[in-house]
Amino acid sequence: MTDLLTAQPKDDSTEDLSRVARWRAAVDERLGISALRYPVPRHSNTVAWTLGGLTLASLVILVLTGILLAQFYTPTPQDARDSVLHIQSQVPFGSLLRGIHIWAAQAMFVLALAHLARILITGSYKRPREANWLIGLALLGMVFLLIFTGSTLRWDQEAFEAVAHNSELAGLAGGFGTWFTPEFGAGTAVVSRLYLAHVSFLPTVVFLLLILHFALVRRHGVSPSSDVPVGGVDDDTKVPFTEHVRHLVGWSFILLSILVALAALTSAPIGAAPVDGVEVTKPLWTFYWVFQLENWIGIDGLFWAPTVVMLFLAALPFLDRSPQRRPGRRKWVIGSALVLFGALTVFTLMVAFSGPGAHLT
Amino acid sequence: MTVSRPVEILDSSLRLRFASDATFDVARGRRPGTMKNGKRLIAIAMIVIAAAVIGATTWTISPAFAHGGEEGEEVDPVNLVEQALAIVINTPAKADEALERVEAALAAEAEEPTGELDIAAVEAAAEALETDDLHEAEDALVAALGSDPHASVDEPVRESASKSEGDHTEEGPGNSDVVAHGPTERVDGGFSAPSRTDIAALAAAAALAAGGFAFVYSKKRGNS
Repeated sequence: MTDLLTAQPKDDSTEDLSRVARWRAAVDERLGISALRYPVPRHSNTVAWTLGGLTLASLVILVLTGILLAQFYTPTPQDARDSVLHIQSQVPFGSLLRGIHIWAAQAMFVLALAHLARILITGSYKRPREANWLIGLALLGMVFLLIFTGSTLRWDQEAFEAVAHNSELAGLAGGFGTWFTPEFGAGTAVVSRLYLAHVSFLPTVVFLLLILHFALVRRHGVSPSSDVPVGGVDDDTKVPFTEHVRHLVGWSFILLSILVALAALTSAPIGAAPVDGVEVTKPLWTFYWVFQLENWIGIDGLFWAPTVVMLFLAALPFLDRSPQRRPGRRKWVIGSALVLFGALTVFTLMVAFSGPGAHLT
Repeated sequence: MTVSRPVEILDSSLRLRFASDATFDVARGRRPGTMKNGKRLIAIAMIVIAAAVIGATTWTISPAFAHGGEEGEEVDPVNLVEQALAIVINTPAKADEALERVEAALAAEAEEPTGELDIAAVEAAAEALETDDLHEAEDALVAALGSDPHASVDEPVRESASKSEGDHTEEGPGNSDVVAHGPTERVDGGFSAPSRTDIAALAAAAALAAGGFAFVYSKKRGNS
């Protein structure tokens, strides 16, 4: 007691600092956070090398807003559209949440493509990253499927026509299309099954692929700049990975701010109740390029267009086997990619400036 | 910062690799970096040609048809009016196609009345379409179909057997409080006047952006 009364005040700042340091050490001992301070090249903090992380940030935003939206959504043909209108008009912040969700989906699509373009231009798919390139392509395919299934859930005319295309595609795919046929899962409406795919099956596959994707990035390291040939060592200055995370979090905030602003300034559309027997809508713009090919070659384009594009991209690491990464030394690759993506852009613009076409039989 | 291998060894390794490539190229009279380009171009060309051939083949087997209205199909006046409504709403530029369907519905009703349509409203819709008054045509078509927006909407693959019409308006555990909306009730996309919530969201977005830039551009002790 005497000691307490006579004791002199201590230096609080030193005490606090040591406490903080001890607390950090205790947490780190248990969680191993300091292991994240492994070195990565400084160029990983550029926007170009942050595109993959931003695609992940879009996915996180989609999951969070999707969980909230799912509380108010009814995945049946009778109620789906009404529940989306209910979210839009009655649920507090419902319109904003739905807007963020839809803009985030489009952002994920654009960012995933930009990430792919960066890897293609800098030759980052080359040895030893061929497998990760293929996993990335599978993830891109999952992004397409997530956007497709998501666009059908509001069950308006556009969604109805998309599902009708889906059913036709199931016929083209033969046995692989069984999941989409009326015979499969009798008693459960297709829109309910698409909802299940959207919120359960596809996200599970995406996260499993992401684990593999990141594990391989960790194993092979952040891809070097295009100046470093295959087998060379990236002599760029190294920074801790936590520094990269800090940049990524910052850019993710900026991305989220853009999405929130877009959601606040625009309305996410919902069409009229669906009607069978007409094709009077166009899909979301992300599918315009396929839509244009459907205009030319019929419903088969829906299957062949993505297949050919994916096969071309999947074959790249096995065709482009020179050690060079510089775009200027890989003219045939860059040229082929420019032709491909140029064509897809032209197809997209053609549909953007034309009306819907009839494809279904 | 540490490098996994000594630079000298690495450089030596690279020189060996490039020397090997150069030797290979010299033997074939090509510049380094362009070897096998001909083979690669041929491979890509083969993929594109194969895809084109397969695509063209399947196209010839199953050409695209307009959905609905094929010859020999049974004419359903209600469905024709619904289709006309969908055309008016979604593709106003094709109002003539809507008029065709409305006239076909009137003809079918005259031949074999179903009693499921308000004929006076269908006739009013036809008149409105002839004068390109799409707003009036839409109202008339909705009136012609009656009040139930889902009565004749088919699920494209199969109809749901799990729930009967109207269940969604009942109260009770497990039921939502969602009410049915009109068939033409919709939200158009594009820019809209911001509400109070939207303005608050814009303010939050500005704060997020500021925080994001602070994260990206702040200098951390010991780094950079």
